[in-house]
Amino acid sequence: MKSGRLYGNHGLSRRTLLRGLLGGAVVTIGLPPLERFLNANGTAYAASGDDGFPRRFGLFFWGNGILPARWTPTGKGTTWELSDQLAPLAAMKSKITVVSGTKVGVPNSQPHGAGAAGVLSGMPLLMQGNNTTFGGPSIDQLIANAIGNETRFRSLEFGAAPGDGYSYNGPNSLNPPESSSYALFQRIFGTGFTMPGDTPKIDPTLGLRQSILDSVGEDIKRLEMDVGAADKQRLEQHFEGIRLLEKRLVMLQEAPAKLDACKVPKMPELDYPDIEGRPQLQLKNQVFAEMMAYSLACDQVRVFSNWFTHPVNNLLFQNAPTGHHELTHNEPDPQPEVHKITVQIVEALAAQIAALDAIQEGAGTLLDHMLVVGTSETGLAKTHSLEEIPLVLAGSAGGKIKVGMHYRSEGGENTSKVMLSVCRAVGADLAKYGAEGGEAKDGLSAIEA
Amino acid sequence: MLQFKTPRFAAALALLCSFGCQTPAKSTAVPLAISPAPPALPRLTRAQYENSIHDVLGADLVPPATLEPDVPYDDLYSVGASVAKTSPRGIELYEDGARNLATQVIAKPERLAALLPCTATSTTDGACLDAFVAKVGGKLWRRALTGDERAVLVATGLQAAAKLGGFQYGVSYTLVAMLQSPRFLYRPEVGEPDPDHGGRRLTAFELASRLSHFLWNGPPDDALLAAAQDGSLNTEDGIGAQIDRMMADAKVHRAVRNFADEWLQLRDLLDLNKDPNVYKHFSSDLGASAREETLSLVEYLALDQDADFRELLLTRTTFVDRRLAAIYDIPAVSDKGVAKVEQPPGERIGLLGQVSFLAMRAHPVSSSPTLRGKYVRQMLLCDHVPNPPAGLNTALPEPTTTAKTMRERLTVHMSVPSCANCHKFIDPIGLGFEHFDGIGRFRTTENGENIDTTGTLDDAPFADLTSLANDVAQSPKYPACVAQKMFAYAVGRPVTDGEQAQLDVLGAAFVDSGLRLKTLMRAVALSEGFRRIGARDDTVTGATP
Repeated sequence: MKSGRLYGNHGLSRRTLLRGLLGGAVVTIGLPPLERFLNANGTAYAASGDDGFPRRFGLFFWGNGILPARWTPTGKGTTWELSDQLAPLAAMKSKITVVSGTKVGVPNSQPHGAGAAGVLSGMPLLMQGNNTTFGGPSIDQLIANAIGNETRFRSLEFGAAPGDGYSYNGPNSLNPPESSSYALFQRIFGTGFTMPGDTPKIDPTLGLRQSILDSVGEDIKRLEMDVGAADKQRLEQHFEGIRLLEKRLVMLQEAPAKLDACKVPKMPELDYPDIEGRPQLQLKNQVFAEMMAYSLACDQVRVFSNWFTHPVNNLLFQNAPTGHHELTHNEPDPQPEVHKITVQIVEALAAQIAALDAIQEGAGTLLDHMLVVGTSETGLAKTHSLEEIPLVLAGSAGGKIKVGMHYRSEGGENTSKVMLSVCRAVGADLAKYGAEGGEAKDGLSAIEA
Repeated sequence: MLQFKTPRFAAALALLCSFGCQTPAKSTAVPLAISPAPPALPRLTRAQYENSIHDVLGADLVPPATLEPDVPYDDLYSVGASVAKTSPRGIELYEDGARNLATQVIAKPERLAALLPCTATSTTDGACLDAFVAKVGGKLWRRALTGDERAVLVATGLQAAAKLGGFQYGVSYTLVAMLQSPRFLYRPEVGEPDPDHGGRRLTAFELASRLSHFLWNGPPDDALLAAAQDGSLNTEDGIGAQIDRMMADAKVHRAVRNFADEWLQLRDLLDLNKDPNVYKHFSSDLGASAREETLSLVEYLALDQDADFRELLLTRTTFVDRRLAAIYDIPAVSDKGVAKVEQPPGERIGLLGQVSFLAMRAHPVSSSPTLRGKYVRQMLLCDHVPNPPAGLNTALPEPTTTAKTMRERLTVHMSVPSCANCHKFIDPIGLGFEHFDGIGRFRTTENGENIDTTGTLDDAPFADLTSLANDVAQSPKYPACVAQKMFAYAVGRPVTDGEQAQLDVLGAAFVDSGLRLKTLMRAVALSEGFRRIGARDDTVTGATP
């Protein structure tokens, strides 16, 4: 496990720290602030191309797809030009790869819903009467399972447009996104935040909270014996959440190593009200994007998902004559208003990427050490098409993914292949991504470095 | 494997059959030929969590602003409660919430005193803390705690009291523990042998809990727990007396409101989204007003008036605030909140003439006969409406000089066979609402053209909203549908195929009562399907976590 080295230098296990606390003695972490991510010589880890910074992952998702005719870049490989719709990414062209022409392999059983499940989990949508859920975890959670457990937050979910998002731990289990940047700021940089390099204030209640979690966990295990198989699975997941929270409480008592790039971002406004019925999506997104960049730079979290907008959303974008979803279906071709909305979405994606690229980390930027995937649940929304799925990859995950290119999938390869490459590049070493028609066992080698 | 009663019609052919008219069979057979459903483990819905806090710890406590969202199943959040899984974030929110609530409890001495059955004689008065745990824990966990359970909680509390230097911390940390327990967050149903029917039934405490969450949308009170403790809840007289008592309590209002909120999909109104340039009456809080109008009407008809529930569709009575009055073009009678008014003579009647339905089943700049027709089918008649086949272009043509009205634009649905298969069951209903625009304002023309509101419901022609509402109200599918939704809501899990006979009996009882919702609720609470359970389902199903 790569991340072990980050804590290995302390010479103290978390349990040791906790026992010290519970025993009544305040444990002083008698070690100098470490240049976290650097090796003992103060230089970056060099082995196997590893630059010493942890891999991080960000998902940027929007609803209602694209217009493939105006989305797909011209040219292929490293000789390519951005399209109309991708133009807002011009400043970072050398740090992105656009993959076009892939398709989702799961059955298109429900407009928008099946595509969201197909792109984000690779699995068919599960029907539950008139309602639906995912058949398995979404990509951010697959990755968080592998790389999310060493930080204060396992993953963070947020988005400019309110909604439940699609960050699934599994069927019927959503991680709801935070739509208030103020609330998210308080959660990350409020109580419980210790500036890397500083010594945390010892909170005498942490031990009590943990012993309560222990007994709650034991009670869950007792209850599991009395319930049927499906409910037992639900309780198992509850138990797992308790265990993760306990781990986090232990982490709060450790002195986080110094991180040069870490800074507390500006506190957001309490609210960004709609103006004339139109949400301030770009401004909200900008605030989230910068806050998230510093959350990563301060190593509070390594996995995020930005639910910019949702499938079937009918939001009134700036200057649009009506809601987004309605336009995708009812605007006559070539859908100029849908096009303008898509450009606004790509501007928001560009803002997220730029915020990550603005933070220096070692010889590169935060973006260089991570991977961002921008995608949607459909290609052409008008027909709920599962072909021509939009995929923008940004950052190279420390050189694991090729950037500065357009990969055109002429044969309509499975979108899951790209997602598998993404997972593996950031450290989730999965044997496969998805199931049934959405299953991929091999990544997309053309984008792997 | 358990079969949920969920119609899954893959083909258009099956769809046709699903719209066939079925009259609920009258019941004569006793006992019922039902196979009771397996026990469930509903997670408290957010509303139930909040109500539990208010009922047990104090009406003035501020519940957590954020908890993991409820999950809908078959259009009901109370049913989804039995499949919902809690995410790691949800666990954090439960912990935050528990700590925050416990802090609130000890922040005011009078609040603490009201909850404590004793006066602590020392910082670590174990006996007093044990009495507190027995009293408050019994309410939160909805049953008497075992000695072992109390001992673990008291030990936790005493540790906190000693460490933080005050008995009140013992109280707050036992609360933190009790509020995070699966015994509080879920309603476990294990059951016991049923001496009356063979098989199994809910234990008396489990039955008390199911009753209170159904009839109060919250926890049992002391009297109900006492009836469970002394066994009287397991007798016909005992449960009947408890139901009567509960139905007479003001808390039944919040349950009826919550049922209406879930059944009629009123939460959708919180995301209402209209173009203010097209609809000058729109503001971001209109959805909340419209939701309150509908909830107030249901409450008034079902509880205050004990009215025939067809009145929901037929009445001119409604509840408006200034904002809604402006949309209805009637005088506002209240400066703040909604107040009861009569709609003037005209086409607008009942639920289907309210802003709630008309605005949430419409687009940001236009009406939607399709969404409105689908709602009538799905929510009021319990017909299954499949999703449109994916991969289809669902675009509607823009208004043109020859096709100015929505009806004219919708003809594409009828002229393309792949669309017509389904839309012929939906659009002809939805077109009946075309005198009401995308926010529910009355109009007679669209783009200068007179609007035609005629249509058909299950082959019977109607002229406009008034006659359509009558047809829906008189359809035998309407009471059967209300009964089905009510039963599913009450048991808090998906209805299974083995329960059809139960649904038939309840539908018939509802009709026999002249569609009295209170009578239906009582019948549901007394029904075998509500009290009996099947064997535990130990089958592991396919979905990989």
